[in-house]
Amino acid sequence: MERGEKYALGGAAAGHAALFGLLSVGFLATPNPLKLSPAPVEVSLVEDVAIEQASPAPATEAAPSVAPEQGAPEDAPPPEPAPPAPAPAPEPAPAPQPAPKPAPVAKPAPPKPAPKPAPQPVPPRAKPAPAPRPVAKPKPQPPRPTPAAEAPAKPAPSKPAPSKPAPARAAPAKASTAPARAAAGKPAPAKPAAPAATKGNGGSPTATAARARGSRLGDDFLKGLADRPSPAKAEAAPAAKMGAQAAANIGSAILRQIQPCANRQVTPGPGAERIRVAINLRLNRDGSLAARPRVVGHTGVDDGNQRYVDRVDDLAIASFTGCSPLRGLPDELYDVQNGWSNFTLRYKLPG
Amino acid sequence: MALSRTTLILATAALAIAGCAKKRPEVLPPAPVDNTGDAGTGTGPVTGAGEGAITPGSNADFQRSVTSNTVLFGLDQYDIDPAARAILDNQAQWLARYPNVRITIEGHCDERGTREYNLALGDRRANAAKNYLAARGVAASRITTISYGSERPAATGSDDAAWAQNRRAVTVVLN
Amino acid sequence: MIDRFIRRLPVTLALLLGTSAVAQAPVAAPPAQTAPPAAVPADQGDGGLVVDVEGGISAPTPIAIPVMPTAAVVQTPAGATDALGRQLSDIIATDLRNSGLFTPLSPGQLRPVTFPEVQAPAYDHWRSTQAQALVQGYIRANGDGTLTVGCYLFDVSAQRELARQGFVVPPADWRRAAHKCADTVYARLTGEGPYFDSRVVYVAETGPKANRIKRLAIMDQDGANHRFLTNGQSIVLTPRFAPNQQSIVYMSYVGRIPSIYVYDIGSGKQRLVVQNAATTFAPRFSPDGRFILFSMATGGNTDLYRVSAQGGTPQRLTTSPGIDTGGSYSPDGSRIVFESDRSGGQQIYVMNADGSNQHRISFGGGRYATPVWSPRGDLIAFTKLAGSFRIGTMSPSGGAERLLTDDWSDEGPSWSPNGRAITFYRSGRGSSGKATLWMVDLTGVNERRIPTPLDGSDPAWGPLRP
Repeated sequence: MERGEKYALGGAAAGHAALFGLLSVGFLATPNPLKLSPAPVEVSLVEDVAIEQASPAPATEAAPSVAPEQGAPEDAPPPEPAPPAPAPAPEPAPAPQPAPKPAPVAKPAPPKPAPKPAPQPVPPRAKPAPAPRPVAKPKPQPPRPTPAAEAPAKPAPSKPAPSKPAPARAAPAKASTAPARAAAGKPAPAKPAAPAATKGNGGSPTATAARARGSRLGDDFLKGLADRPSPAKAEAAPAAKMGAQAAANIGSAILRQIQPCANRQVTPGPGAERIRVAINLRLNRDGSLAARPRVVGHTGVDDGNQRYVDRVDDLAIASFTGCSPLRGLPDELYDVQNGWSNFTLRYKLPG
Repeated sequence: MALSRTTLILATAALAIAGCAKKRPEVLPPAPVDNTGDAGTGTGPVTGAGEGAITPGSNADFQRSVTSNTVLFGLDQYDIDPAARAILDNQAQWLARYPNVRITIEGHCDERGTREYNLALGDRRANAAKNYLAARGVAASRITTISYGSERPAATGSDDAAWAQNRRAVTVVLN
Repeated sequence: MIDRFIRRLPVTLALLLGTSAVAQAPVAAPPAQTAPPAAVPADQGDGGLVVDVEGGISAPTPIAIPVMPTAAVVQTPAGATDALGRQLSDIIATDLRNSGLFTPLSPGQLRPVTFPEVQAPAYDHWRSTQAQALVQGYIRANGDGTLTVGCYLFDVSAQRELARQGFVVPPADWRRAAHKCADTVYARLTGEGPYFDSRVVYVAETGPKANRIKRLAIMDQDGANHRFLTNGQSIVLTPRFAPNQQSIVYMSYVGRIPSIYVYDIGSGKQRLVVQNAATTFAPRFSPDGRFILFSMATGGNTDLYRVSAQGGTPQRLTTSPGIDTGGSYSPDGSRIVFESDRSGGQQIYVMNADGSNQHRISFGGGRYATPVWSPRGDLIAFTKLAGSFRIGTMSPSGGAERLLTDDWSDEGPSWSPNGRAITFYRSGRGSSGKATLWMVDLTGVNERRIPTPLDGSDPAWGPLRP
């Protein structure tokens, strides 16, 4: 070998060794790629969307609310970002909402009185306007009972946490909403969020007042107050129909009692498990049958299992009669619409 | 080093004819029969020449004369294999000596088959033997066939050896 | 040379980037609707609460069958009426238990039922037992020698009558009244057709395996009223009922050539069906009773033929060089299922009743034999040969194959009249190799032996008796 080649070879070898050493210690290595850590995102499925205003504890009158304390209006703390309402009956925030969209719940503020409904006859016309509707002016006023107040379908937690300013703020917003249908969103107007229109505006993030207060009572602060206390005791907002959540509870209660008898029914043959039969049941208040169960429909019947239809009807009826009378169903949900005085049982064999 | 060419040729020749050993014949020639009567009828009385009361041309005579009255078949098979051919050839020779003797060939199966199929398969086996005998000169009008399916096994075990014995066609001389 | 080499050596750095972590957000699962069911109040828009319930078991139904009382104890040619009442309830309980779909209460759980109680059951008592259904009835001797049997079925939990039937029978047929009552109960509680009032014809076997003595025999499906029809001097095989139940077609070795005969049950006479010199076997009637389908072996090949039930010239249906045998009609008589080894081994084929459109339907691996079409038309039963012989069912198009038994040698299936149960025979291994009659539900459960006085094979279930 020539000298030049020797030098070159030595230099190359040294260079390789150096490179190897550098790479071993990670000198030229690229940084490890970022690990993507899965961040859980909470999703809650909202199943029950009530189109009509409904309450789990329907009552036509709500308990009378108490006027808030008199006091100087202060800034209400800005709305907290609260997660959407979980159980009970989550309802989507409706259109008429002030800009910040707080949830109607999870506000630490002491529960505010529910918007007072005026003692009103039953017909539930879904009206917009929470209590403060008449208080269209941003005056510190006690939340007014609204004529025909179909109050929000929320129980206590949905009571508007704050204040008159809030209702006052919501009221103008409310005034522009289309009436009816927005029942679910009722809590929204009674939002804790919006600061008082006149005084506090909620803009200060350092505001600490938990409750907004009105500065004075208005002339018409007695408007809507009945001369005698309302006998209604329900804390929840009134409605005349059973809410989705209450329906689920009733369904579970009925199912719990019927399931053991359903589990004892014997399948007549292969293919019968495709048949689903619906029977209509009418019960007395004590849970016993008021009339013979009536088959109202079938699905899943085909040539292969046609012969089993009558038998599956028998099994469905026996599932109920074997475990009747039903016990412990709430009396107040008996004869409301969708109550348990008259319901449909759908039965099928497993498989 | 160089092999003697002559030796080579001799060795090769010796090798070539080494395989020509004379084989023992597969089938022994039939024992001489006392043909006192007409060759055709085969029903003459036995002259008591020490053989017992076996009528020539009878089934008993047939059974002691031929190699076997039974040919065997493979599983689900009804073809006549070389062993069967040899036996049937031997039967054909005996039948040629008694041209007026009529026979029935029974077809049988092992129990590893269903009822009706075994009846049909037994019929196939019986017919296969019949066709072979006919090709060997036995007039077809002398032969009838009958299938017994698996109803009359020869061996009653439930193993391959027993089943192999049951897959058979039996030639029976009609007395 | 070397420095050129060094210069050209590339320095490569490989970057491995391997992360493909996918963030998975946990989702709140909706309530499952299986073992712990949930009430999903759906359809609230319909204006009513709806509760969905799913539940049930595959198990026999507990049923109470107390002794049938009689108003007055009368001696009849069949016995005293009170003894008959006991036996009637026993027969009904046995029928229902043997179907595999019912569990009758044990006698200790039953209590005597008085005559007035028959139509007005004591529901409270029966509700305290496990029974979900109740069968009560009575027996009465009519003045003219006949017997009247009343049969009532009640739903215990709903406390209402489900069915009632009355039967007037001559004394010799008193067992049929029990079978008819059991059929009423069975049909009402399962939705299936009845089948208890039917008979089975089969081959009774005795003797050593190499030389079996086979005799035709007939009995009620529960084994009663058993009698032999032939004397065993000739081998008899594969008997089958005519649709009108007045005769039986079968194969016999009585003549010089194995042939098909029709045996008249009433007169005991038999006649040859096909007059020729070929072996005929595997006979079956058509559903309308006008034809007999059979197999004939000529020149070493077996094919399917059809002949008028009165006899006459056979009409050939298959011509393949393979063995074609074991034909069975569909219930409407329009098609025939049979077995053929034309493709190399036994397989199942379906064709029109005139022999056209022969096509194979079995493709499941292994070989298939003895196909029989269900009286309901929905299934074909067969014997599958794959190592062992097993009974199975498949749809008429060849799918939905299902094996029902698992023994060394089960073959020769035959359907009950309602297409719900299958009878077959099972052979044992070895030099005794006895055959016995069995039955199994089409779901594969309730495999049970049918007791016979001797061994038995080739069972054929007759139609429901009118």
